[in-house]
Amino acid sequence: MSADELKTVNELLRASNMTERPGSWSERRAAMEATLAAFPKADGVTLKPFRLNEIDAEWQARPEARDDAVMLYLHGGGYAVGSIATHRPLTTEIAAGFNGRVLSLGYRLAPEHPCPAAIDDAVAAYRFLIEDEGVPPLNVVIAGDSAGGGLTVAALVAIRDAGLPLPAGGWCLSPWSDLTVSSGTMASKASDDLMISDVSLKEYAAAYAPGGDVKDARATVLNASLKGLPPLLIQVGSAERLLDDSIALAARAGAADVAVTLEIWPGQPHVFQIFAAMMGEARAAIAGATNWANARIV
Amino acid sequence: MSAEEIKNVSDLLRASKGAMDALTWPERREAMEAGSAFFPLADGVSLTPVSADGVPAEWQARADAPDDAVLMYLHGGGYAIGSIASHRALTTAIAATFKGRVLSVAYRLAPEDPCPAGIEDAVSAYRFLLSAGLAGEKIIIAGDSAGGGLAIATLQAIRDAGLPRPGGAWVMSPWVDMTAASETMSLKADDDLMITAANVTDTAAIYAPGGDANDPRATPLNASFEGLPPLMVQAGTFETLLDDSLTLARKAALANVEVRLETWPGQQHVFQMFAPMMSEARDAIAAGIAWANARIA
Repeated sequence: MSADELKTVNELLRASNMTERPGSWSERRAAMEATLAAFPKADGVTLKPFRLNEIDAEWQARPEARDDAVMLYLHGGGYAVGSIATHRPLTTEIAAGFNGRVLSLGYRLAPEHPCPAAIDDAVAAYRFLIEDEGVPPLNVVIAGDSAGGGLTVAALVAIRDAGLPLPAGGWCLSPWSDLTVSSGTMASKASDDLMISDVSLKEYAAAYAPGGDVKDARATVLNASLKGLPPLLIQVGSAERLLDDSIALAARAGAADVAVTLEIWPGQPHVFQIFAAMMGEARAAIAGATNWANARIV
Repeated sequence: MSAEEIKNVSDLLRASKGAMDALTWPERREAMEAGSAFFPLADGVSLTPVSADGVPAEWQARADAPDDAVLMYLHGGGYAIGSIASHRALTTAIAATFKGRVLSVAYRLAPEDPCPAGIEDAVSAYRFLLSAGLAGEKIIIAGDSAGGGLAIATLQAIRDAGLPRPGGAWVMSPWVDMTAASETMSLKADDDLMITAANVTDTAAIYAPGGDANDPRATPLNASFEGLPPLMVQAGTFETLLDDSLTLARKAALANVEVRLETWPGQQHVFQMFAPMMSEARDAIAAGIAWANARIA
């Protein structure tokens, strides 16, 4: 039952004390790997790791997946933690429903590699798809959760500005779009959000922002010109401190004449889709998004 | 072709902008109905007038429409004009594929009957449906423009009256802020061929209780969103009212209400009305109906 499933997830979040993440960056990375190691991967999805321009990448696809359509996935983790591995449960679940292949990218992380390294890596991966793999641009969807959601938008902006043909769309799961960490819900949803700490976010923001300038449009994508971007699907839970990040992104994109679909999922936590094994809503959100992506590609 | 279709609609709107300014209220109402006569009704939908506990209404349904679900429609027209007739093309298009019947409601209009007369009538029509044996969750409330604002105010009134919760509300270019203070009111002023800030404040003067634009019954953004059913919100990006939709989504989200918001690039206020001329309009209507059908399943 839906309410029971969410209750279980919230108990898990409380017990794992996810907002308390002291320690070095390597300790934080290890902690995220350990936490998400227990989550199951989706069945029937083949994994093919490889090196893409000196960073890690991994194809994830059902055997019958089309090879002329790709979802380029940018994992979350505040731009400083997270990996292909931490997000494999989520991305394989996506690959199970998407008609093409998923390409999960191990983009370079802050603080060793601040902005715009991650954007450069995402754009390079996109070029790899459309130039080396021959995937039609309109058969590529870029997607990402949390920081990966912000990175999705930053990559689309960079692709547009580089004069490259644009992909079919962007799917943002609880995107982090404002690295100033100053929105209304950052405060008003504080007691509802069992995952995100504003103190931690500010550390991540400082580690990632170019020259420490959190307002830079490549980091705080709310400050970017979003004109000409392809359609965006934004999914967010209402129990998130980053709720306003999604709403503000939808507002800015809409004002820039972008086709936005914004879905508010009541009571759901940050990137609730990772709880696909435990919650019907998580699976429904992923299914809705893969249906959306499947309808976008030709 | 899409760009050409949008251009045809824009040309039509530009030609008629400001045409109503010199007319009286009865003349404006007549002009709106006359204009809407060009839009064909959907095939296979029968029309049956009904009194919904004293509120004039019209059943619009296919012969095989299930009788256990209703979409209650509140037409737009700045709370002062518009009618069942002016919106019949749009509402019969909904009745053509909605998995139930449509009840289009002729709520009382300003300036003769300012807020909250319209809300009272909408709630009466809802009660009429409940007493006819319909379950609240099988009733979807829908509306465009002022009708969208009215739909939200009606949801709030239904909740406050302790009545069974409707299955959801689908609002097109909803008008939920009578203060005309949003950013898009100025940002989109050149793009919007229909609604100006003056239109909004003029409407507030004749509609809002005591002329107070901040009254939550006229500006439902100012009322509580707790306990509201799921919302489907559609807006064109060329609208001065674009921020009304975004702020509506935000208020609802803060209160943990389920929302699906769609922004349609380059589209005008209630672009769905131009279904005979534009594929995007038909797509938006189809998306709204699909959403409504999923809610009542």
